[in-house]
Amino acid sequence: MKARLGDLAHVRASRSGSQLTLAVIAWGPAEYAILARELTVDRFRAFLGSGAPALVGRYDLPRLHCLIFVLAGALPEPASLLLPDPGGQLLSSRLLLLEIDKEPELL
Amino acid sequence: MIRLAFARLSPACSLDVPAALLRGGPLDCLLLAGGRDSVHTLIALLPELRRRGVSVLAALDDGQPRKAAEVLLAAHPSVRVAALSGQVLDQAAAALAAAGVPLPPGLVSIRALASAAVLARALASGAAVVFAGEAMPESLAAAAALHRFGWTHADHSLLAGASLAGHILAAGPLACGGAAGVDWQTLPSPASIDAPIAELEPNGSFTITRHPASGGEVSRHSVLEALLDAVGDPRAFDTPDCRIDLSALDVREFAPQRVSVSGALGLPPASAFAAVRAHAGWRVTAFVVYPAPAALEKAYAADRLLRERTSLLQLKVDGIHGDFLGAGPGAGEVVWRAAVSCPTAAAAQLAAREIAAVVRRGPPGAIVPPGAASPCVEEVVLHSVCPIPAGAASLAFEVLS
Repeated sequence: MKARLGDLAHVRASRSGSQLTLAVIAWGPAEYAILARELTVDRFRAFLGSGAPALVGRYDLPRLHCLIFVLAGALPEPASLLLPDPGGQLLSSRLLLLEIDKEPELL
Repeated sequence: MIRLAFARLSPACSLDVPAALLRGGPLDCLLLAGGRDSVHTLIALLPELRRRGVSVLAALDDGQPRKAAEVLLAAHPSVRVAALSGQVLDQAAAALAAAGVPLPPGLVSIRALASAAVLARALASGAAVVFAGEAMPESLAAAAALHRFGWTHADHSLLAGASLAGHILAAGPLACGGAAGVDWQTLPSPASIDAPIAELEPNGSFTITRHPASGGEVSRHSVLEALLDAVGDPRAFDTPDCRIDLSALDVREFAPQRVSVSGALGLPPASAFAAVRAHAGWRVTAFVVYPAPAALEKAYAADRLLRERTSLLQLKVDGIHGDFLGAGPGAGEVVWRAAVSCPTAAAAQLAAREIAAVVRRGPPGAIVPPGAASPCVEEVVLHSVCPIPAGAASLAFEVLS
């Protein structure tokens, strides 16, 4: 069964210097377990697509039911200074629409 | 317990927030950040601040806290004001670069970030108002707690807790649900949101709440959005006072409009830090609306035309970027956002003329919305924080009265 990420979590996008933070905050522990399993670094890289800022890493905060994705190089490359969304709001809004498998496939 | 609130006085922020925070309920210390204009807000509020016994820690991004102190004293000669010194490191840039500090090209200014320790010493001198240059809100909050509770600068986990309170407060209305991705359709009284209050305890834990008459909703989820705002690696969130690890943090909504935060882990600071501003060229941006029929095709044609014109005229541009906002099947209008980066102001002015010329030379129906200041030419100044060697800045304060 699939769900949109926005049904499982809300997302805060924010920039500090050249670094972009996307905090995926699950609505509860069950939603966190699904996201921790499904929203892997590879899946997140695929979501970003080519030409996107480099993903530094995923940091898990299980006590807070949060996953933190940190992207580097969002700024200050000259090209990215021209982009309309330095704070990552478009990216985080698009992430809310990502389809997530709620149940693992049975082998 | 000490009650803290934070208000930003930049042009993008509401001017009524400091007064609302002061009058809406009990408060012990008001933290402010902004330009030198902030002083005028303080001048207006000072009699009430003194009557209520509220101290003020203000970070001014113009790097001239002493001037701010003098302006305040001229208006209120009986107030005791402290101003930090030693933060301006522009003259030391070459030495810092030689010491391995990664300074960017086009350096405009370098300012040591104030530490909580020196801010707390300024409060301990009896100052009712302390002006600093660049300071993280985290350090302002830590300083207020350091002074009130008698912690030492080595109580890193206690400082980490206070710093996180400052971090949440600095996100402004976010902890009250403003601009948070949490039930925004049903958020109560968003027009009355001012900013959250932090009630900080001597053990470093704190409660985030809001004044009873203010709007919004302080919930676990809104506080988490503020907590994780721009945090980066949550195991190593650096301030001049400590390195904070959020791994063991506990965030609980234990009553309506009341969220507790505890369990911050603090380590010694990784470094001292400085706020760096660097010039990175000039940018021209413009928004042009193209209506149907063929709205997207018109916007594409305008974008092509701009590129052809800059090439034809051999304009000095570093890059051109086009966005087509609202494009989709059957779109009634598409907004073409053109952005051009240029090495000089003169080149940027020429590029702006060519964007305006595209409107006259290109596809029909182009609308430049009145009041959009489009095309807009602006200098690009990048802000960043970089580590500097301990001892690179000699932070001190002086009391004026």
